[in-house]
Amino acid sequence: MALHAVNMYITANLLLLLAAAGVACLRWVNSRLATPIAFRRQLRIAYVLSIAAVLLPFTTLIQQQTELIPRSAQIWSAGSMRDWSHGSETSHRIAISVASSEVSVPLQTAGTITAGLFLVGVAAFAITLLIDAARIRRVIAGAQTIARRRHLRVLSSEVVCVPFSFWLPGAHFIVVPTDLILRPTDLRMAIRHEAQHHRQLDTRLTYAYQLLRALFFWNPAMHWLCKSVAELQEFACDEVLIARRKVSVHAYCSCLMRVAESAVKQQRMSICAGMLGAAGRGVLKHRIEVLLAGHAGARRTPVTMTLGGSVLTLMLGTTVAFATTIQDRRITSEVAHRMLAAVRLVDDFPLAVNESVVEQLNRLLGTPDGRAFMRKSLQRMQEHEALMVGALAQYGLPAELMAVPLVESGYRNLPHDGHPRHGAGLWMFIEPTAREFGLTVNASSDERLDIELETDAAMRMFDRLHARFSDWGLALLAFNAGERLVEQGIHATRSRDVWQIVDQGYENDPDYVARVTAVMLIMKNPTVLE
Amino acid sequence: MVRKARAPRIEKPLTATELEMMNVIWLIGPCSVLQVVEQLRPARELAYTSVSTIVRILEQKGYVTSFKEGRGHLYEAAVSKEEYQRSTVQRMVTSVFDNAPALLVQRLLDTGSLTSDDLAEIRAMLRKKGS
Repeated sequence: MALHAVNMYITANLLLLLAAAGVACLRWVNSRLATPIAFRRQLRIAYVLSIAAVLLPFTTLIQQQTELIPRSAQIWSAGSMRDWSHGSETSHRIAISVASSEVSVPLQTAGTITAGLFLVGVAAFAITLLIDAARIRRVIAGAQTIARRRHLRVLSSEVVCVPFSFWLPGAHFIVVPTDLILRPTDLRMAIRHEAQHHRQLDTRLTYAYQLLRALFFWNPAMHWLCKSVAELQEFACDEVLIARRKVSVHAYCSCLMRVAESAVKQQRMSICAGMLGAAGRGVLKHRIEVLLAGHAGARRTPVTMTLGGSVLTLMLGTTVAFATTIQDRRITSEVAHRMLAAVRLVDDFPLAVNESVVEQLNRLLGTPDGRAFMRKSLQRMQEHEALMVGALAQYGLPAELMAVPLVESGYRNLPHDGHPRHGAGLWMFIEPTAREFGLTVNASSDERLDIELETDAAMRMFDRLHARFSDWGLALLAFNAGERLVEQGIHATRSRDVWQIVDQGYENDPDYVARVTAVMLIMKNPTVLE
Repeated sequence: MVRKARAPRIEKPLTATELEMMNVIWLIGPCSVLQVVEQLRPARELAYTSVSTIVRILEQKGYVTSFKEGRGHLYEAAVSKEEYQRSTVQRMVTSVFDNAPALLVQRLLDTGSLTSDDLAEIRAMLRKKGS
């Protein structure tokens, strides 16, 4: 679940980049149009794109996992099969692909550092917001109410130089500098401007944008988007005042200029809408230019729909493609049980999922080289499949036994390495066992390397072991550890449960039965290797 | 005549414009906004709405109280000029003269703008205060 949240966060960051690019594109196109698009409309598109950037990642929750692009990062149970340590979370690693190179770092370290940086960033941003809020509180405390209309309060403050407005649940505030009272025309204009911000819901939406800025503090696209939206809010506000509320353009521009003059020393506050806009002073010139140009903005539906639609489509595509940027390759107990459930539907070979099987599944599926080994081994298995299937059918043995050579040799017909306790061939027969089942092993010839003969010997051996123990788990253990040890195990534990016997240490290769079981589960669920 | 009861409090100092208005109210006593506007003219041309707003701010700050008279409101100083002067000097002593009133007197004497009459008056006041 945490990983899903991280993936959604990564997708949201990409979408915010697209949304910011979309807004930039829209404004660029607008600057090239003879009849510009109304700013209210541009603002609405910016809102839609922002909402889409935040909400689209949630669709990945219902979306099926898709592999449209290669994974950028994968979480492994361990860096390699060799580094595998039993069930220890410290061995979990995350491999991040950057261009053609891959960086692998311990998951715990990466997680702690990332979470730490994220929390520090969010906290730092939250603190700046709180400082702003405290500053506004101080301004309010020292201000006098000069007008009151239902939920709206107009305050006059001696400490502010630029009119601003902000919203609290149930109350709309407009704060004007005391000096403005002496200029009634400017005062009226300022109040109308700020009231329009309230009417446009700018003062409420600013909270949402500040929250997003805190969450995506490191993403420049988010800050740019906020700035763009704030600018568009000012333009839209000017537009409405001039077009609908019959304010004189000249008087309005003069008022803006006078406010700008006194604004030089004013500190900017992030959670309110100022008359000069949160975007700053550079925009003022543009605003006055736009006002004086006198073009009434048009709806321009075809242009806006095409632009907005294409950016949204692009965002949707990105959501689908980057649904799982970080993929978790670790096998949980639930996944293992699901794999087991798929097997049981079609077969009755006694398979079980327990802690050691999950560990072996993680070793084989949860490490990069484990997966590579499984893939290559299964490819090699296909070469011998016909022979194996024939031999199994001839002796009436279950097809699951095909997992044994995979565990023994990875389906490589390995020659003997000279060690007396090591075996040879696909089935890794040691010398005495090979001779017992009629294979010739001497200096000149080694029939353990004759696939047909060794497979036949293995079939006979399994046939005998199953006849003796009447249990495939015990037969498997006996194939690796010898009949004597299995007998001893049964005697000592007074149980015929192979897992209990293994648990008491009656085994040769550690976790042999678990490993064969894991391979059987993977063979029955080939999709897990994709 | 219905008076809004409000205890005088001098927490917030006056701005320059507010002081201008207060000076008028102290001078002419209970008055309407229009009277203030007219009293200020022709030296100071202020819109009626501006004066009205400032007088209402003065009311919130506790410097004036309003009462209904006929169809309009009359405003009356809730803080006497002397009280305001006292609190202003007090604030000045605290904030500018490090809580040392003697320093304020010292600076007053330093300015050299005091006439011999002023000095005589001050001496008389000191004598009276000391006795």
